[in-house]
Amino acid sequence: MSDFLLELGFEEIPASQLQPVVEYIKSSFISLMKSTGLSYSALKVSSTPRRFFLLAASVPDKQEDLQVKKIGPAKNIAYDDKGNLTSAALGFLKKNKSNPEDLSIETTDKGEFIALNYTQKGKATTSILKDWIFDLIPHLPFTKTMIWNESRIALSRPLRWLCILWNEEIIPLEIASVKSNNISYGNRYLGLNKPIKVDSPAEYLSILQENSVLAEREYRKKTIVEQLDKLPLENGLQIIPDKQLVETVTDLVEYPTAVFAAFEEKYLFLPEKIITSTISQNQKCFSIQKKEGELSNSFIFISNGDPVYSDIIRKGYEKVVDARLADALWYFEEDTKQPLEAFVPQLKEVIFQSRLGTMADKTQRIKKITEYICGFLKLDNHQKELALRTALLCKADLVTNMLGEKEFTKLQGYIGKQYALAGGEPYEVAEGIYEHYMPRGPNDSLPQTLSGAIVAVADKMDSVCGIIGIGLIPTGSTDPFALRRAANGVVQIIADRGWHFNLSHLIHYTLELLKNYTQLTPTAEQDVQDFFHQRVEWLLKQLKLDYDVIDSLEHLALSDIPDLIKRAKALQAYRGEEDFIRLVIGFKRVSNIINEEKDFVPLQESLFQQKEEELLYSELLKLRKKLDRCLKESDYKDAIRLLIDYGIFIDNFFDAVLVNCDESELRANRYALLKEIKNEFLRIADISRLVVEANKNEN
Amino acid sequence: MNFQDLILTLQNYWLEQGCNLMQPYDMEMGAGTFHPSTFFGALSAKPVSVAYAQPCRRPKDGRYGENPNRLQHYYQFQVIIKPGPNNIQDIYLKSLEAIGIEIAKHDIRFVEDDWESPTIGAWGLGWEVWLDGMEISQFTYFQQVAGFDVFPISVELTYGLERLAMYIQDVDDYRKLRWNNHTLYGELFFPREVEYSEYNFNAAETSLLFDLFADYEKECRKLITKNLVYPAYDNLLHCSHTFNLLEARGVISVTERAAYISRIRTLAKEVATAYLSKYESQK
Repeated sequence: MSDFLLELGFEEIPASQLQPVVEYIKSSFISLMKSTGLSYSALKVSSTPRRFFLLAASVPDKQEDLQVKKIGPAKNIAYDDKGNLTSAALGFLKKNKSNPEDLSIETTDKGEFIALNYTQKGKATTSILKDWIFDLIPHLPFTKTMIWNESRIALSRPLRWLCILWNEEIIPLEIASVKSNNISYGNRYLGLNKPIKVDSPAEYLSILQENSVLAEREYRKKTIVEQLDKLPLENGLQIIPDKQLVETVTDLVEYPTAVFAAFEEKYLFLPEKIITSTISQNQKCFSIQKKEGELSNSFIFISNGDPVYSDIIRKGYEKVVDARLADALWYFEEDTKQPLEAFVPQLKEVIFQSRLGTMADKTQRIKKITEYICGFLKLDNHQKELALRTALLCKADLVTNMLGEKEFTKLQGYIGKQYALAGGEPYEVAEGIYEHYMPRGPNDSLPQTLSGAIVAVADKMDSVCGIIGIGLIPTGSTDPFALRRAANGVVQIIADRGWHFNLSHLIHYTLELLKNYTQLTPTAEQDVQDFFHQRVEWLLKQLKLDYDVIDSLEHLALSDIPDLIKRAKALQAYRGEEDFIRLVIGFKRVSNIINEEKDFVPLQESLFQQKEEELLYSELLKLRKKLDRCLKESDYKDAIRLLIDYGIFIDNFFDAVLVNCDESELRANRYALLKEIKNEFLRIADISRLVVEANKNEN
Repeated sequence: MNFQDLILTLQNYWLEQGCNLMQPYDMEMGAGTFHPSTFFGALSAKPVSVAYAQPCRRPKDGRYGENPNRLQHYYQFQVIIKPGPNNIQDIYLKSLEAIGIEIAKHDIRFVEDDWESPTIGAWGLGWEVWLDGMEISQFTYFQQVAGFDVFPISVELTYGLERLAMYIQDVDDYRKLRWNNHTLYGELFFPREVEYSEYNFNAAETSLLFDLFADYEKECRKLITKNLVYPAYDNLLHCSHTFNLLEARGVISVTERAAYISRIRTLAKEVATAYLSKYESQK
C-alpha cells in the first residue's frame, strides 16, 4: 500500500474553469480504480488558482493477478491452410487484449477451439497511473484553451510543474515538456522561483500551508467565511452577504486574509448599485452597509498577500476603487446633463437583432404592445400615459456613457431608473424602467409597478415572438436570447397580476406588428403558441400542480392564465375524493365510447327510450345553466361539485342503457348525447385525462 | 522613481534579458501591439525578443486633462518574446522588483483577461496583472494574428506606465507624476490633453477624416499589390487612428462601427498574407 500525490502546477487558471476540472480528475481517477480493480482508503481532489491536486491514500502497489480463460473460434476457422492466424483469430486476440503466444487449444465435445488460458500478471500501480496521467492532462475539460510550446497541447493556461509522488518516490514522466518531480511552489509573495520539496504525499498539504497555500478549496473557503465573520466592524457596520462572491474569491487566492478598507466619502453620492458593482463585480470585494441599511464608504477585500503587509496592500485597493468611482462619477455627471429622453434617438444605432432591427425599432414595438395591453386592461388615461412613457424610455440607458463604456452593463435598467429620477420622471416611470427587465432570473421577483409589469410583458412578447417568428426556436441546449426565461416571465406576470386576457390574441397582435419589420416564417404563430403552451405548463408545475391535472386543461392553456390556475387548483383539491374518482371513471367511459366517432347527428329527445336517458339529458340542461353561473364567477369548486352530483346520472345511465345497441339511429343519438356531456365537461376540464386508480370497492 | 527612470529601468532590465531594445514607432497607434515589431514579429515563425516604450493615442479617452486617471495620450512599455521562456511569469515579476515593487509586500494577481484586438484580427489568452487590486500590466499568449494561427507562441507583456508610476510615486493624479526631479508630467502633458480633447471630440473635421480613411485604405491595397508590406501596414495604422478619431467625434453608429473594424481587419489579413508569402514562404 502506498500514498499517491498528483499535483498539476499551472500559471493562473481562470476561476470559473477550476471546479469542472476538479470534478473531471476525481471521476476519472475513481473510474480508473474501478476498472483496474485497485482501491484507496481516502481521496482528496481540489484546486487553487495555480494547481490541481489529487491525494489518494493506501493504494495497492500492484493489481491482483488475473486468471484469463476465454474460448475463441474453432481451430479450423482460426488458422488458414498455411497455419497462419486468420482475421477471426486476430479479432479474438484484440478483443481480449492478448498476444498470439497466449493462445492454446481447448478440446470440447464440439471440437477444437483456440483459447486463452493463462494468468495475467497484475500491473504495477505506478505504471497504470502513468498511463492515466498521460491520458488525463491533454483531456482536462477546459472550455477555452491555448497552446504555448512545441508540445501543442491545448490547455487553459501553461502547465509549469508536475509533482507526482508514490510515497517518497517520484513517478517519472514528461508531458508538455514538463518533467515530473517532487517539487511544488508556494505563494507568490514568498519570492520568486523558490521550489519547495515535498517529501511524501502525506506531508503535501502541511508543506503547502507552511508556504502560505491553503490547497484545499473547502478549507480555504471556510477560512474566508470565518475571517469575514470575525472582522471587527465599528458602529454597527455590516458586510453585505454575497455567497457567489465568496465562491469566486475562494478561486482567486491561495492564502486569504480579509482586510478592511474605505473609499472617499464623496462617491456615496452615486447610486448604490454603481458603487456595489464596482466593488464586487470589478474588484471582487465585499460591500459594507450601515446599521440602517445605507451603503457605507467602506469595503473588505480578500488579500492573497502576506498578512504582515496588509496595510500597504490596502492602500492600493483603496486607490483603485477611488479611481473607478471617479470614472463612474464622470459618466454620471455627463449623462445627467440631459434628460433620459435625449438618449432615445441614439437607440437606432444599437442593433437588437439583425433581422428585427435596432433598439429604436424594438422601442416602437414595445410602445405599441404596451398600448394594446393598456386597452385590454381598460386603464385610465393617466395610467396609460405612465405606461407609454415607461415604454419610450425603457431602453434609453443602453446608449448612455455609463453603460456604453461596458463597465456597468449588468446595471441596465437600474441606470435608466436613476437617470429617470434625476431627470424628474414620475416614480412609477423610473421604477417601471428598472422593473421591465424583471424577472431577471429564476428567483427574481416580479414587477411591483403596473407600468413595469405592462412594459415587461410587452418587451418580452416582442423578443419571444420576434426571435421565434424568424425561425430561431430555442432548443433544449441552446437559447441564446433567453427566450424561455422571457416567456416564463410573461406568464408569471400575467398570473401574478391576474390579467384575464387571451395570450393567443396578444401573440397574434405582436406577430402582426412584427410583420412591418421583417419576414416571419409561415409557422410563426403556431411555433410561438406551442412555445407559450410549454411555458404555461411550466408555470403550473411551479405551483406544484400534478402533470395530469395540467394535461386535463391543455385545451384551455392560453385563453386565461389566472383562471386556468384556479381550475387546476380546484381539480387538485378534489382529486383524492372518492366520489370525484368515480366521476372521472364515469367520464372516461363517456369519452372513450365516442372517442373514435367523428360525425355526430343532432340530438333528438324523441329518440330517448329509457328513463335514465331522459334523466341524463334533462339533468344536463340543468347542469349547463348552473355551470354558466359558476364560470361567470370562476367558481370551480362549485362547478366540480355540480359535475360530481351529475355523475350519478352518468353511472345510472351506463348501468341501464346499452349505448352500442344494434339500432343505428338509437346508437347515433346516444353518441350525440354523450358528446353533449363531454362538451359540457370540457368547459371546466377534460377530466378523462386524469390518472386515477380504480377504487377498491368497485372490484 | 521618476517617470523617465521607470522607462530607463524597464529598458535596462529587458535588454539584460536579451531583448532588442527598440524605439517607439513614429506613427499614431492605439496600443503598443500595433508596433510593426509586434504585429510582424508575432506573425513570423522566427524567434523574437524586443522591448520598447510606445506612446499611444486613444482619442475617446480624452477628459480635457481633468480626470486624474484617464488620458488620450499615454505610454505603454511593451515586451514581445517568442518562444516564451518557461519562467516568463517570474521574469516579469522580477521586472517589477527592478522598478521598486517588492513582491513580498504586495498582493500580485494574475486575473483572467482574454485579450482580443478585432481591428488586427488578433487574440490570445492571458491575464491582467493586478498589483494590490490595480491593473498594471497585460500578459498575453498570442494565438492568432490577422486571423492566422501563429506558432511558435509569442508572449506579450504590456505595462501601463502612468498607472505604475502613480503607484510607485504614491500620487493620485497623473498631473502630479514626477517626470524627473524638476518637471511634472502635468506640466508636459496637461495642455496637450486639453487641446487634443477639444480636437478629438469637437474640432476634427469629420468629412476630411472620412475621406482620409478611404484614401488610406486605398493606398494600403495599392501597396499590397506592389508587395510593399511595411508601407502598406503604415497605411493600415493611419486607417485605424482615423477610425478612432471618427469614433471620438461620435459620427460612427454601432452598425457602422462593426463595418469599419471589419474593413481594417480585412486590410490586416491582406498585409499579413503578403508578408507571409514574401518573407516566410520557404517554411
